[in-house]
Amino acid sequence: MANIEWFNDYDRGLNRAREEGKPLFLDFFKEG
Amino acid sequence: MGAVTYPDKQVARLLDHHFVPVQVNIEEADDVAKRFQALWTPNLNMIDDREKRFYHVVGWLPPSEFVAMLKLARGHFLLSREKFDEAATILKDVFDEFPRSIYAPESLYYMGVCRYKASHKVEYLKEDWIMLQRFFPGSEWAMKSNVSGG
Repeated sequence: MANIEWFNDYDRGLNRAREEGKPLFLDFFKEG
Repeated sequence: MGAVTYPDKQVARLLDHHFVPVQVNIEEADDVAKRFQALWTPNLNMIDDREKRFYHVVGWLPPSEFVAMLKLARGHFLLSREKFDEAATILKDVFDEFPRSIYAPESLYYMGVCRYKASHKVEYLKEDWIMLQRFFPGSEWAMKSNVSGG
């Protein structure tokens, strides 16, 4: 099993994406 | 997605290597959900540094389809950056590795676009689109590539 290191905050993820020059993969999920 | 698709090694490797993965609860991140008109889950959005969404999928995908979709999305990203050769290579991968994928026809379509953009040789576009019509005659992408159709 592989582990993905998710950001759980959109703005923090976007900042990281800009720093790394990568696009963002944004997954909206719902509990249950 | 969390039970089957995300634990897959190839899925995780591609996501970590080419994207910054962000996961938010649609009911808690209301402002972000509104910004991207997200109404239903799973809701997968590929977004560039200017917050422009360049690919979007609603619904569950098994690992192999997810990998094909992610490669296609990367192809779109590279195309938007005018990295035509790199984009054509990854789009060819989709067709070579996942010829039965639901994303194979779109990948062939854009492979032709990228090869044309890189070379300005219409033969490349025709070559890829003829292959598209031969392998996926019933697909929407074969219809869209049928330039002689009127």
